[in-house]
Amino acid sequence: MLNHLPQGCTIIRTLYQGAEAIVTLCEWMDMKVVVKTRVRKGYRIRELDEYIRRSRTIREASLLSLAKRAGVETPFIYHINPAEGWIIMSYVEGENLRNLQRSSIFPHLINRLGYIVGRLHSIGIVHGDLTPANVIVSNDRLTLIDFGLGEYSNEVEKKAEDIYTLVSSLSPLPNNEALVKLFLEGYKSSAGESAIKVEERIKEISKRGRYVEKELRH
Amino acid sequence: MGEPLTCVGIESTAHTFGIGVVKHPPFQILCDVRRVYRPVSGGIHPSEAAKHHIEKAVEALQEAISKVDFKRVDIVAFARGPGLGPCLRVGAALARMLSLKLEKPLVGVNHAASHINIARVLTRASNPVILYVSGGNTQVLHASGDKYVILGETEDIAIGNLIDVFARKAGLGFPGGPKVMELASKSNRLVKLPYSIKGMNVSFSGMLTMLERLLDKEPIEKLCFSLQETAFSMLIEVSERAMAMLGVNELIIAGGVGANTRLRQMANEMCKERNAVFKDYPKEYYADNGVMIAWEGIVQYLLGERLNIEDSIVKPRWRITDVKPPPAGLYDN
Repeated sequence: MLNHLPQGCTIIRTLYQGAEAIVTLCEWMDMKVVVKTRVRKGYRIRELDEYIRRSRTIREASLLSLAKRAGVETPFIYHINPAEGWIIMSYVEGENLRNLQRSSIFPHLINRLGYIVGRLHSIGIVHGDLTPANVIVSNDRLTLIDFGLGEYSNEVEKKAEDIYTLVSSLSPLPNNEALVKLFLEGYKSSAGESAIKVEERIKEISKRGRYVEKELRH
Repeated sequence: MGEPLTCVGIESTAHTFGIGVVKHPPFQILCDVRRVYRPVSGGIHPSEAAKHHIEKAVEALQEAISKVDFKRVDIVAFARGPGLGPCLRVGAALARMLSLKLEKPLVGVNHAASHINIARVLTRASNPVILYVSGGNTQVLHASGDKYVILGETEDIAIGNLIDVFARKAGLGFPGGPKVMELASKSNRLVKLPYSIKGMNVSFSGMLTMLERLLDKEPIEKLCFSLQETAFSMLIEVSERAMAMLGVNELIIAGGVGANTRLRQMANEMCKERNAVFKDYPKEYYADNGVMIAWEGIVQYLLGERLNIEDSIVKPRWRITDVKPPPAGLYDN
């Protein structure tokens, strides 16, 4: 994958090669930047592939910017090219929250994350892929990254789904129930009135997987 | 390798009544008898399907007996769930009878795990991400240690349900899969449909609503093409996410929707792009069959599972997370 970088970028190292995008640490205009490129997927027909990459790139950039209005830390956008599917953004130094799952401060960080997600939801943004891997911890500050599956919504359902994704990603951890509780405490302290409804809906969603099984055909 | 075991497996969870016989080791299919219920109109009617199974059970058994010496059978397995209660009970009754008659242990197996393990034994996939897609299920799974982990699943209807219901509303009959696939191959025009992924979960109900609205506005070929391209892209995308997350480089598809050529082609394409392997196997084993039940019977027997006749009540809602995957190394050779 040599052609996924914008002109003028010099690669320092690949930070992450996910299923959807390649995230690279680069030097650009004498700055350390992160370049996120949504790579073309050969399995999708071109029309659908271009539509998905373009719309996700635009949406991600706009969500990253707007989240700041709620006081949620996100990378700064420097440049974007929807047709080629890349965004150039600021590099956030720090540790990935996923790597801190065994740390003693993890419960505290999950509580803080709850507070931050509450703020985000209060201005009508859902992240869409809330997992510890999408949170960078620098000193005591949490920065949310990867709004690639995010959207604008005030629907209780979408907000509950958002949190359910996080709840699912915590489920392999031994103390997951306590962590979820801490997350929700943080969430309720900042999400405003809809928090109660969102919490109820999360419980409903967690039963739905089973509901699908109940309707089983074969 | 231990002494060879022979297992007869009975499938009756939904539309297919199947009797399969498998011998292992080495893995060998001795017989594969199937009788498939086709509704006159609409979808599967549980009691009609059960009636079909009762009517076909004897001739299916006679056919199996004509091919395999049942005196050599060591284990009697049946699909205990998940599935339609009335249908499940037909297979369970036959299995209990055989177990008593042959004086061989009874093993009740999970239908979903059976789909997965027939795929694994046919492809020798030692550590795959599994995309399980059928009329009632849409899940992305991984066998981690001694349990199955569901990494992602549908938040509403199953992919096969989307296809079947759409096909029915479009007057294409049941099952919809083959007809939708055929019509889709006659178009290359895309209509925009909801592409809904949350984490590793998918949702299809919005797509179904949209397709229903477009039924008299767009050509059926175009709708079938758009349905397949959009829905399958979603499934392959979440499969790829799961592979990336786990660092796994094998993918298998299990379940009836896997018979769709386009879905398998996309899976293959995705795997090639990430230097992974899509492990395919003969199309007939994607559909429900007795062979997969027989193989899962051997797997569970080796894990120590035995079922007393008096405890052998069917489990229509049996979730795969309560089932043990095969011991590590079973598919390594």
